[in-house]
Amino acid sequence: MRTSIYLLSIINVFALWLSRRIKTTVLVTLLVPAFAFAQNNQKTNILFLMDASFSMRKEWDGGTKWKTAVNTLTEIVDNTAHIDNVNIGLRLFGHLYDESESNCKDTRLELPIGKYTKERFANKIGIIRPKGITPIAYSLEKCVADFGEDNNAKNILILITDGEESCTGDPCKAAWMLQQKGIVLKPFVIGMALTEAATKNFYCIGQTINTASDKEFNQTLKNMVDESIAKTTLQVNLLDSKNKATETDVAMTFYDSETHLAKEHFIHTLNSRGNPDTITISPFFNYDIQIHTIPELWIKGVTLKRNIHNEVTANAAQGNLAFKLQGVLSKTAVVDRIKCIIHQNDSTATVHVQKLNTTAKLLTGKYDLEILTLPRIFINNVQIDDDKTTHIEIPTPGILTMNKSYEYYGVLFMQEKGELKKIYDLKPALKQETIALQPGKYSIVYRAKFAKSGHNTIEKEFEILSGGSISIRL
Amino acid sequence: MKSFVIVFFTLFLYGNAYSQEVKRFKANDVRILFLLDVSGSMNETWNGRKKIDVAKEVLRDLADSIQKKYPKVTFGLRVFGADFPREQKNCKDSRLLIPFSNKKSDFTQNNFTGLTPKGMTPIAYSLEQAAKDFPNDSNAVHAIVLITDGDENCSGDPCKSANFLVRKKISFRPFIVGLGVTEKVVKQFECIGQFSNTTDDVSLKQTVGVIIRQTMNSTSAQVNLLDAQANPTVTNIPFTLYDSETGKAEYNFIHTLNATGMPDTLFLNPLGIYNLVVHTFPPVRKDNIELAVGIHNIISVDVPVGTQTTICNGSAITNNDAQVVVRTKDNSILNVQDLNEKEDYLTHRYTTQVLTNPFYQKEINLAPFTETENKIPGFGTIIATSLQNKRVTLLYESNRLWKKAGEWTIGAKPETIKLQPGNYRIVYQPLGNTDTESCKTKFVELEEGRTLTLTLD
Repeated sequence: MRTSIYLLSIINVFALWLSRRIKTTVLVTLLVPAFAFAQNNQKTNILFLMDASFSMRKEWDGGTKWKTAVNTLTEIVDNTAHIDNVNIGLRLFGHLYDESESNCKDTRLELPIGKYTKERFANKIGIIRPKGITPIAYSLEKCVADFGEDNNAKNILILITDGEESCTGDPCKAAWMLQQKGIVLKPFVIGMALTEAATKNFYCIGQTINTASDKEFNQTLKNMVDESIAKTTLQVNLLDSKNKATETDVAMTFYDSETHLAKEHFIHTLNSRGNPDTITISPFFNYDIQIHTIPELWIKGVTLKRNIHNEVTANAAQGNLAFKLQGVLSKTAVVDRIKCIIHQNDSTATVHVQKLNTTAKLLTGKYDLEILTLPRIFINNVQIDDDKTTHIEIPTPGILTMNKSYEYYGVLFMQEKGELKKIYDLKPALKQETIALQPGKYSIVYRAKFAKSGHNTIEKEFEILSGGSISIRL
Repeated sequence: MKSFVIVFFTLFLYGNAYSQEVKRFKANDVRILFLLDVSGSMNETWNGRKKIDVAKEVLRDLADSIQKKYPKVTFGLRVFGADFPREQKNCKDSRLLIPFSNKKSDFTQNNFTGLTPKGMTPIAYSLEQAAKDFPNDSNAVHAIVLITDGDENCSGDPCKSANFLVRKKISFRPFIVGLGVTEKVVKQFECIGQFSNTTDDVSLKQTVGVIIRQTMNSTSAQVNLLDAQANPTVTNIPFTLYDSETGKAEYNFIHTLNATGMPDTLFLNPLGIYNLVVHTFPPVRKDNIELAVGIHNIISVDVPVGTQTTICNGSAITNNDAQVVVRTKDNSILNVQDLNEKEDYLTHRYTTQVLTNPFYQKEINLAPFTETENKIPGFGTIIATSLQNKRVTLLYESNRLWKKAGEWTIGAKPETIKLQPGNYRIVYQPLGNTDTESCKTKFVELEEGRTLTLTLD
């Protein structure tokens, strides 16, 4: 009782330490390419970490625990030998030193990840006799190197044991480290007649199933292997306004809900039958899926059912916003830089900055536009409809060129609601300024920089015609 | 032929632009209307003589001497209470006795006959009537000098009438000269205009003389744009003076400091009431400015400004057209400035949004006198090509999230994409692809000023 409390507190301390370290961990993990998805030729590596401590000799269903485990494993090796891309490895612990020696480093990779025939496997394991203690944590740490360098492989670790850690190591911590390094998916633990308390202590490592009989063990382990090999798939349905999954060609990012790390990026695709394409995906994570529409969409907390086809859905009806001039104007830098800032109708956040003469794809709905002409044009409640293009055409501006004999302070005004509204501050340092102005009447008020009287202020009125150009000498 | 037409077009517009300096106001004529109380009480004796006689004498003497010296000054005389006995309570007993005339002798040679004090004191009504006595002349200044020994005893509101005259630019706010008026009555005149009490013929003459000379003086003003320490150091900012009555922009100035570094002196039409708008971001207003006649007026406005610049080294509009949008608290756009351009704003909290790709957003808190510099790195460039046409999405990393920087279809023609430095992921697949898992990604760390050439295979 005392021991288990002690263990728990160690776990808590560890969790605290981890939360502080999480930023560093994030950086490290980012550099390691994502491994989560079965690519077309993705390998599945299954490493069995098996208990060969003395207690495995115990009688079990007429045989011994050891015998049950060996038989089942041999069967599995035989069953998977013909499956492409599936490799098996075996690491044992407690099989090199006698229990009395209490060797806490008693573990060895007996069969490296690879392809084995039933015979070769049986030969290898046939000469081993369980005899030692149970250094689970240490053995877990050693597994890291066993998986090799293939970053795209799906690495599965299955721990088979009949007892608890017998050295001072912390198996929870060791398992965490394995996953944090991004090498191994959450391990499986299969117990052989564990006590209830012991079973619970393995929960921190991974999915733990305790078995009570030879038959149960055999079936459970086979299921675990099947599950590891089988494909879990996902289809993301992006619905249009008629609730049909026709929206596509948009990028998606899959994040691990727990760590919030981006696992994979795709562009949404329709398959040859015109349906959203199926993605093979690791079922061992919960996902937050970000759809890179404008504005972006999220499907959060996606939990996948293993080994079957899953579907998630988002309303992603989109239409186009075409932003251009009413007339034609030869290409000019001052006109080209006119941008349109797009906000959602009920929000101040900018969802997109659109350049002139471009078309943007937006989710259907109402938007407010701020167009950075001089003066600015504000258009509210612009409706974007599914599969339609909303055209925003602004009057073609005219070009004003100001040629200056001296340096001037000055300002451009236009009348608005009976008052003068400042449109533009002259830049004193420039000898020539060219700006694009919307058609209309303006006045320019300026004064030489060196003048000592406000009465030297000069005012000129002028009119800008759409597409015209005018030059003023100050 | 075509080019000729364009040249003509441009010239035509240029020729059409009218321009002029801001006029210094200088009165060509000064018109002073005496509004003389001839109500019953003016019969009372004052230092041994009848009040009316003292008043008549003083006015004639002053007009005579001033007109001789200052030919641009002319006088008129309106009287009230002169025609109907008090018992009749005639509140419209007001009459223009001597209209303004180019003939100076019209006033001085008039012997003010028939001015026997007898009636009421309809000051408000008389002020209203006085509006019609002045010719419509925007190059002149007009003043009313009310000489009275009592307050309004009709139901009129002289304050309202006085305000009307001022607002409509008909005259200055009336000057009131009291003939031994009691303390209590003085209060009634406060709202009409400047009041001076007199005790005898000498003080009456002196008082009215001072008033006349004051109206002849030029009125000047300076606009002090005060910094956070209340010193008038802020300058070079445009400001507009609107006529508060018509809403017309009467004066547009660029604020100027004179040779000694003080706000310069402006010569404004002293008639009327102005609303001042200083064209800062956002503008500062000061309404209902009434200039005091014949003196130098100081108009002070608090304009604590700070400067905001978004620095981006080595960028010119030609290669980096990213504008900087400055927003107020309610998210409305206050101004759009260029990179590296200094712009003044009233000290406040703003949000700047730099329209690079991806855009930056930053809260700034402008303190007076300070230059807030918000530095952004220059862009890097990705030049991407692909043998086969690819659908390409560019994602950038922001707080561990990936956001879209843009979408392109990229083929053999190189696509040049300007982007801010950062971590990018290029996600791409061939057009018409039907297998999501064959979608590829490339991780790119883009640095300022660097160009990365990528082939999307």
